[in-house]
Amino acid sequence: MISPLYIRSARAISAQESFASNDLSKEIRSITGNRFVYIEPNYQQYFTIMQLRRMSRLTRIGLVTAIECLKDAGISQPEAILTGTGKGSLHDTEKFMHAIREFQEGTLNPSPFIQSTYNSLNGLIGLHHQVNSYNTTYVHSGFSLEHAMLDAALLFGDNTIGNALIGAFEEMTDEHYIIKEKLGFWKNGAVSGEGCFFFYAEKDKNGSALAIEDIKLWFEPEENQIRQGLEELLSSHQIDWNDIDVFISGRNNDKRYDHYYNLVADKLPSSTHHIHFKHLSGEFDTAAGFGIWAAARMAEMKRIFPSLLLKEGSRDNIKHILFYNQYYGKQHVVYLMKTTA
Amino acid sequence: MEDFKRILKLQIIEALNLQGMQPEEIDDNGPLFGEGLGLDSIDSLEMIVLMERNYGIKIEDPREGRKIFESITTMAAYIQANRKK
Amino acid sequence: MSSVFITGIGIVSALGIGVRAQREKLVAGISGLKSAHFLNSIHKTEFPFGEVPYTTVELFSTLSDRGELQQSRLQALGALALEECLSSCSTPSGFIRQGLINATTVGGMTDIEDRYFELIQPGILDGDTDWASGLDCATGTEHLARRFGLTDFMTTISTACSSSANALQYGARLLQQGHLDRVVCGGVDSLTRFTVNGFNSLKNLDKELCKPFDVNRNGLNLGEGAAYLVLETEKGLQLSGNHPLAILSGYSNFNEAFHPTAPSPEGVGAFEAMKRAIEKSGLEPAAISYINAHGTATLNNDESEGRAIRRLFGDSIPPFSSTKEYTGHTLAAAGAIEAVFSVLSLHHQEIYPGLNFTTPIPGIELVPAKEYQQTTLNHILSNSFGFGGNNASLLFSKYD
Repeated sequence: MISPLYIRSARAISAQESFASNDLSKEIRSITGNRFVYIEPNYQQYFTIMQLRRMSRLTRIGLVTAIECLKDAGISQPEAILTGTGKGSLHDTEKFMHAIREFQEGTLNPSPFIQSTYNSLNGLIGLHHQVNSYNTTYVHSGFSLEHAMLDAALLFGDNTIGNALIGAFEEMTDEHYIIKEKLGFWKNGAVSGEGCFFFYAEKDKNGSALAIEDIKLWFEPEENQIRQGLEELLSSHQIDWNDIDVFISGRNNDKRYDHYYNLVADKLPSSTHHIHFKHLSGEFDTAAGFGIWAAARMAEMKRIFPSLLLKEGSRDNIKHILFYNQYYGKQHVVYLMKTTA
Repeated sequence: MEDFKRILKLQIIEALNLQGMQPEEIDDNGPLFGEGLGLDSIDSLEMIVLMERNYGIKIEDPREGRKIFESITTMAAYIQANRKK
Repeated sequence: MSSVFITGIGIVSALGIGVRAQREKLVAGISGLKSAHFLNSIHKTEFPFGEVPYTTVELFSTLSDRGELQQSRLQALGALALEECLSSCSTPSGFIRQGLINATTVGGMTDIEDRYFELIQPGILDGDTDWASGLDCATGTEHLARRFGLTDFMTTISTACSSSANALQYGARLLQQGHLDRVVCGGVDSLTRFTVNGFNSLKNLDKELCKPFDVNRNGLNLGEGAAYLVLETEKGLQLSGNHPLAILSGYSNFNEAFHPTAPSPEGVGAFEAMKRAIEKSGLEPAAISYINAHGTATLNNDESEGRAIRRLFGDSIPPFSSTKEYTGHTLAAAGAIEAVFSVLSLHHQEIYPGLNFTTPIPGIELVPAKEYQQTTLNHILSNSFGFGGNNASLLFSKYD
């Protein structure tokens, strides 16, 4: 059990038109090649030339997403900033590696090095909003966002803070795409993606449409462990499989991993809606953020985005949402969420 | 000298990634750091790179750099006097 | 909140492999800083480094069982520290929930950067590329977790130079709120061309031995290493029968919004981090017996940290020093390495001498402890501050 995270606002920059409208009402964009590339907003309205000068592709969208997320919640200074990212600003890491080689370790531009640091976006958000507070970054692949969430819940639990800005950010580059290709990431149907997601969460319910009630994490689990863990999760919240109105799964078209999601789907009644999201975002370490964003927005708007439906159920009233994602069989995460309206 | 200052401004705009800024917006004698253009210690390091790559001038101590980079005028004069390429 | 007990420690640094090797050098005031041998960089003799004095192959051969670890200096260092850490205390019998909270700034970069440009060529190295996964910060942690049976719960933190201090804080929270019964926290970083050139581009590497809190300080020396600590609750102690080495009695993370790399001159973040860590323990600043300062010897850090110490402790400043003169700045490992040093100080009731200091910074006038001394130590504050304004302070207390 965790101290619930009451989501007051959620924002996403993704390969879909998810940012300006903050929903998925626009026409769905299909993939070009084997990569979903996020749509960048117009930065001019957010930043001066001086502010933009050192921000790279990912830190720009990260900061814009955080700005709008806080604006939606009417908050200027959250009490903590927690993020998760698998790879951080890859463009900067690569740029610096190339510079080391090109200039043979001579005098190098420091900016890519600074921005390659995984917590640089956190620092920038803090600077932009003048937030002096708790601030941390988790960099554990498919667990990154979840530890940011869990840590925020712990900080709620011991009354260190009453609210937090929580987010995830990821980008793909040409070079890293090749590396992941060699590592076999795209061999069996999954396509590459990227995106940035921010959530403003409070310890108290006021004004939120969705609560993250619990988070479970398993590393390379046996199927039995997942089964048992899910049963325990539901019973500890005094609900059963029939209470789940929406199941959100991280299916990524890689058939090797479908059996995990089937474990859950097979337990659910036919009236439960089954939703997926990676067909619109692509696969990446923190892709779960897109699914959580969708859950938060659907809870707020009290409707299911049709483009996410994998199997339509019959429930009109959405209360309990079960979210299950796994990243290449290694990191498995489950969120139990509840609409509060 | 006026032409050189304009070239230098363009180089600074590029080196510091001041996208959309025009050379005319940078005052020849105004301070580059702090209240003027608003550059900071990281920009100073970026300009040290510019000095070495474009003019062959090595600056080891960043504190020395801050004096040279006081304004476009001081910077241009220093480059003219010390350039190796 | 329940107390958090430290029951196991393990460490590798430029001072050597293991707790005993560290303490011998610390007591004798012998630094591990010198030219690097194994670092693949043109700068390896230009600056002093806190390099662990063994090749990666030698490091692996020191391990009792390498298991499935990758050919990675990061993993070798991490495994050596974890092996010592876990063998220094007993594992509770029966079912317990345990975790590994790791920290790193660049993951397995050391072993990847030499082959990176081949890796990104399509068509080359299509065969066995598992090693390339080491670029990911999670990969090292996962290999270590598998090797040491800590796969129930794990994560990796990266907040630059405060990373492993934050790992200890997260671990403490997980214990105190009942999510885990036992947690191993720490961090690891190996020297890389990437980081060396990064700090060199910031012009804050000293070509001489670093001089923390000295007016003539001129930058830091980079180091490498790993350290882990076992944290348990009261309930965990009953199960394990371990005798605590020390208590983690307070902790705080406070990010100051000042500048992407530089701390504020007044040390707002450092001040708040220390103040809040002390507050969390329920103590007063006057109770602090010693401060293991961040003390990197960069122009900015020592001035702002010094001012923060002045402001917090006023005229009764406890003895303090930085141990970066021994190990170099080990980045993500620094918080955990210095946590181990703090535990050692408490356990042996001794202060290790600060090195290379002659003249205080005017206006701050702080003089670090310069002699080895045995004295009564009850509470030690350990600072770790990083890029982006990320400031972490840990407070360790003597266990009676």
